[in-house]
Amino acid sequence: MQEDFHYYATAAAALLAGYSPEESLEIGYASQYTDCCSRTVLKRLKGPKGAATTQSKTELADARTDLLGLQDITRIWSSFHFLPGDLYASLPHRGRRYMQKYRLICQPRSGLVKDTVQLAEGSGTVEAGLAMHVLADTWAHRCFAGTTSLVINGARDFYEIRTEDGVRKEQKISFNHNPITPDDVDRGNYTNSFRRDEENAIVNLGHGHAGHLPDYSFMRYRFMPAWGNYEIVEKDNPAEYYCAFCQMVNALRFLSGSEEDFDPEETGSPEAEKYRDRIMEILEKRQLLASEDWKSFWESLCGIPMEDFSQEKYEREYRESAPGDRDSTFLGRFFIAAMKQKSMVTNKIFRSGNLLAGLSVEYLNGGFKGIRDFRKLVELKERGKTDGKP
Amino acid sequence: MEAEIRKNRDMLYYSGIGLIVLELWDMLKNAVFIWLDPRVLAYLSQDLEDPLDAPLYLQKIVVIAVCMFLLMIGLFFRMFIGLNAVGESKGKKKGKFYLIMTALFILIKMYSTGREVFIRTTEQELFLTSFLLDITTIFAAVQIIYRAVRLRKLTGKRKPET
Amino acid sequence: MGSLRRVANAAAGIVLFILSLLLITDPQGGYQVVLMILMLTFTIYGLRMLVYYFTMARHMTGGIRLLYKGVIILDAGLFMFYLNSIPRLYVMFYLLGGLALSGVIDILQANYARKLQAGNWRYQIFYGILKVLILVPALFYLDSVRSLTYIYAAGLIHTAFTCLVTAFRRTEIVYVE
Repeated sequence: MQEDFHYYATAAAALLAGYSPEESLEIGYASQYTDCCSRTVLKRLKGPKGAATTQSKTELADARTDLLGLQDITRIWSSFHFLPGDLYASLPHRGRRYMQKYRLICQPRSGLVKDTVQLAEGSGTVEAGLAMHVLADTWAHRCFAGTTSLVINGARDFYEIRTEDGVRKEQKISFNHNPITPDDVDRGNYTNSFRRDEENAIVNLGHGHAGHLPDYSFMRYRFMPAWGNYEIVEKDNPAEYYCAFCQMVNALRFLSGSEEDFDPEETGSPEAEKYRDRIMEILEKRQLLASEDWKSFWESLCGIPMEDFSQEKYEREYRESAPGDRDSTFLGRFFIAAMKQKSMVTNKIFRSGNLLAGLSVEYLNGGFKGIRDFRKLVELKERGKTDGKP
Repeated sequence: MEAEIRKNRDMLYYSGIGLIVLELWDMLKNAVFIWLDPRVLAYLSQDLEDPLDAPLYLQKIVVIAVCMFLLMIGLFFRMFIGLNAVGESKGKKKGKFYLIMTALFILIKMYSTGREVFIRTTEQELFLTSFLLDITTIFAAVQIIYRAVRLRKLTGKRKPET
Repeated sequence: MGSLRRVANAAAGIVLFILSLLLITDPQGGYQVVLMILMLTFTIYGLRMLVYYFTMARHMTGGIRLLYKGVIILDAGLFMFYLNSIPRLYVMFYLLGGLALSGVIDILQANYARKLQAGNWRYQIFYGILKVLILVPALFYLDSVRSLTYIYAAGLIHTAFTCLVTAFRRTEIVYVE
């Protein structure tokens, strides 16, 4: 998904869930910042590198594809953008190496989505925003895995589905690999990653072979995933984005205390249903970015102008704070939330017997071993115990 | 069933292409083996004591022509099978003839491969590469027959779209 | 391009340079080493592809093409072993032809990169044309094994230089996030 959904639509969902306009913008900001927080940005801010929630194109171009490099890539992408759907999936006649990658395929409505939302429980808007990013991406990025794999992510045979005069029409999508010209939705010209017959090539990460199709809310298409044994997957982005929106409203109502539980299976929302037609109109409009439409929607809900997303909004606060006070700043809390999320997902993947995201140490049992940045989480936990908090 | 049809079409397509490419590579190897082998070179560069020694001269022409002819026959045979397989994978209707030719090809190939294994007519160094390629070619041809037959059964069973 | 790949490119450039020196100083020995390295490279790559097919790619849609690709590459590697027994003159034709073919591939890739408006297509086309032009002096020395060997060594030096330049050049990647 893109800025239009992660910032503007998430902020609108937060309003419908009962948050104030200011809180909704904080939630939207944290959600969109998940797509900005790369190691390059963290280096500039002098933040903890373990809190990286994405990798920029330059970082990916220089990324190592040896064992440690691949584990690092998998940790980031599986934790924040391609949350695994079933870590214990089984298939006949598949080897261990294949199944490790297969089990990282992203699917919505999974147990990990519930864990992600529950991790943000009792925290503030920053944590909620990060959780909404992860939740929303499970809908857009389903059927792809947050690891480099030709045999999982090597999708092919893309067809755009349109309905003209009530008749369903399919048009084959021909991709080009031109990184310079933007996608042309009117002519149906789209870009995707260049195909390489190498399992761990960076171009085989995530939905690269599908180009930006999963991120366009208007797109309806079908394709053949590499893992599907020649079954076709059909994606109706408007319908799925609407489900994502409703699920965000439900999750945010849970996080705000209005609901007692969050059920990831529930994809309807009475609050969103009132505005269904308006939302679907935004989602179905053929445009690369729907930011202006979502912004109008948000403004119509609360009656005040909405500020556009600006990455630098909270960065100055973080940079200018004293080292001891940084954790309590907006971005300080975001970094801690990111490390918690990464730690949780990596631990779940590791405990399922999968080493693709690396090792995960139960520090309560084994003592602290690991990345220095994550020591902060241990200290926070210890501080929580001494303060009498669970 | 649609997934099964797609799978068979895909395997048929790649096996058809595979057979053609394997044959082209085999031809290139044979060209090096036949024309650049020292004994062949020695034979071809044999000086004619009598420039008008027609029988030896003709013999050389015939040897070269026959070798080229056999190679071309082999190439066209495999191109015929491969291109028909590719055509059928794209939905064109094909008869049984090319499948019969494929079966014949498999039998010939198995015979020649068997001879090499048990009698070792090929040079020691070439045996492994020749064996590997032959086995793969037989596999590709078997895939073509199996997938084509399966595809015809499935498309025959498929209900017409309403 | 990842750091590991840059190191690999730089190492390949150095190895090729050493090989070319070996060919010039000891043509017979150098030629054997070149064949051996080519044989090992192709054989290992082919084997890796076959192992990948049997462990992973056979479950992938269209994975069978990797089986055929792996067999051909493995076969090409094993076939290099046979080339020891045929006259060196013809092996030099084969190697020079291979070098020229790789130049043609470079030119085609550069043309593709030019359509994508990628930055480095001019360098790629230049290097590709140079590789093809290696054949021109070879045409004047078709009966001299030593001369052909020197020409091939010059081709290797050129390829070594290309590898070293590529190792230190900033590369563009087409990747969709």
